[in-house]
Amino acid sequence: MAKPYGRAGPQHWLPTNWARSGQLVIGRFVRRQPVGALCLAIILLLAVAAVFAPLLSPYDPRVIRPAEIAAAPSLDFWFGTDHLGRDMLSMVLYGGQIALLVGFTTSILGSVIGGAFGLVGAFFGGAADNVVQRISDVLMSFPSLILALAAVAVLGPTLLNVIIAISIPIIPRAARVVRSSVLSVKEQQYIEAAKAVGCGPARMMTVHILPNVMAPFLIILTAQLGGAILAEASLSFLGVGVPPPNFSWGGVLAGHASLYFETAPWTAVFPGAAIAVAVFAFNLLGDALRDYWDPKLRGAG
Amino acid sequence: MRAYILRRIALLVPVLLGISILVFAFTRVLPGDAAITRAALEGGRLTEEEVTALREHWGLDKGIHVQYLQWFGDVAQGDLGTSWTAGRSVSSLVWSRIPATANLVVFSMFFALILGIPLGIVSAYRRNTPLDYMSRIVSILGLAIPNFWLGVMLVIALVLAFNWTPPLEYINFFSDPLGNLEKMVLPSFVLGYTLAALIARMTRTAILEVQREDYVRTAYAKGLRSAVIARRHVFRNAALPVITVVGVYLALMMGGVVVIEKVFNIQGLGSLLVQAVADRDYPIVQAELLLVGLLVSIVNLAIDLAYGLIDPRIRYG
Repeated sequence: MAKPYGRAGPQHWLPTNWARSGQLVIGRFVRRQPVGALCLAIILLLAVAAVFAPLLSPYDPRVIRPAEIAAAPSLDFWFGTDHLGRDMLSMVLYGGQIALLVGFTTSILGSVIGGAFGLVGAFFGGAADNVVQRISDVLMSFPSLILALAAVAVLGPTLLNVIIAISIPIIPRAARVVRSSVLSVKEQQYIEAAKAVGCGPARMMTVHILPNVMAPFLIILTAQLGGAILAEASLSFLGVGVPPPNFSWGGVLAGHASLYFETAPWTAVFPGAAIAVAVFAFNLLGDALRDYWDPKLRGAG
Repeated sequence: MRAYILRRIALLVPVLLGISILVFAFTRVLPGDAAITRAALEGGRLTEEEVTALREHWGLDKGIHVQYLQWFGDVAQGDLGTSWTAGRSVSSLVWSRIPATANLVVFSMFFALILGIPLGIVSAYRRNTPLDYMSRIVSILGLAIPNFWLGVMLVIALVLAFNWTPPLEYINFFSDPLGNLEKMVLPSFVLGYTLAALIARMTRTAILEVQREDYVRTAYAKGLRSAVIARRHVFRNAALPVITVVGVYLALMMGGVVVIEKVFNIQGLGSLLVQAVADRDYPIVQAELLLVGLLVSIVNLAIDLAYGLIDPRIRYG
């Protein structure tokens, strides 16, 4: 339920005091959004595990062991081994690198490009805005995964292309959110004041409007993270994602691995659980940030 | 009302035109040369002349507007082109895959509705009780667990527990209902679960919101039984956002279909698309995008028209 926050206007959406009192902000976030804070902790843990995968992995995930094919979890292999005898734990740790890399780059890329379209379109309005809007409408009428699949079909499956493909469906969504925020900010008096003192369009957008639409922008960015990780896992699972030698959680579940799911369930359990935990944590963190920054949007997602 | 419906249907034309331009542009404007990538897929290195010949054969050497008009003309006449790999006409390929996918979507929708709506209602009417927490956990899990992993886990569990494996072939429901159910119930449940979670969440929010309305308080004040209030006032008014969610996700379900068909080895539109993506078979990719776009537009229209039937306050003028 919405708590009274006593905020005055959109300029208070963004916690401008991050840099000055980071600790205070974190403390308040933990108190108000305990679930969100827990998810943040899980994400940090996943990030540490991914970044330090080379140090944390007990084995090289590429080493094939014909003698240890589909070995059950043991003290030597905590998560067991896969159909080629590779260590599951190491593969899951390395897979986190791709998942987080693709998740963050696609959300940032898609939101920045979409946000720029939304900002410029809403600021100038007119025919250009109309064209951008119609293109967004058409793009958004396709399910994200279908659009990403079609993009991979054209571009070909490489790491960079998978990033581009997953970013494309994010662009119209970010554009729409930022556009509507800019439209409301544009009507504020301080914009009128800025115009009165002779502020040009570029300065107006970057100095006066952009800081005031940062909160919805960051909300849409975090909201896309979970979906982007799931999209990467799905593409890899379908066999058109990030190609080897990279390890991806979805890719570990694809191909011949599926023949061993029933005799060696651990080959399916651990990578899938990693996807589920990551998507779960990012989704709930996105919800928590939205409630924290802008309680009015609660339940709108 | 009739004038409104006609106008809405007329408005579909520019939307579909936009979709067709996007679908076409998508496979041509993005960087990447179909002929070269196809040649690379075939394994051998083709000579420069052979690649040029391939490009000519597919009409890729002509101007992009010429290609579009040619393609659009063909599509308008129902000719979706010929598959680059299978050598069959795309329309016959797509047509043969529709029954399995439609079957999956209809069953999933059934599961989503019979799970999601009661969960949402219970959750709203028993707010902050263990029952509410339980149904909310079920719905949060539905949103977080990737559906392909849920599918894989369920199949493993059934194999280990009952030594049961899903049948390999798709069987038409009307020729063998039981055989069809054996194949389709599990994938439909898995696909429907995600949607059920969304429906439950939306139902709960919508009911809680309507319950705060003045007319509900008035109804209580004049002594109506709460079952009557629920039926006449709350459900009717809470239905609108729920229907919107159902409609939007009915269209977006195609994304989930792609993955679920792979997990359960169903020969439907989704697996056709994945194969086409792997093979760079542009005519099939285009046909499928077009089909999805058409489906989404029609569903959106249907939702808009349904509003008027449910909420008499919405007038068409």
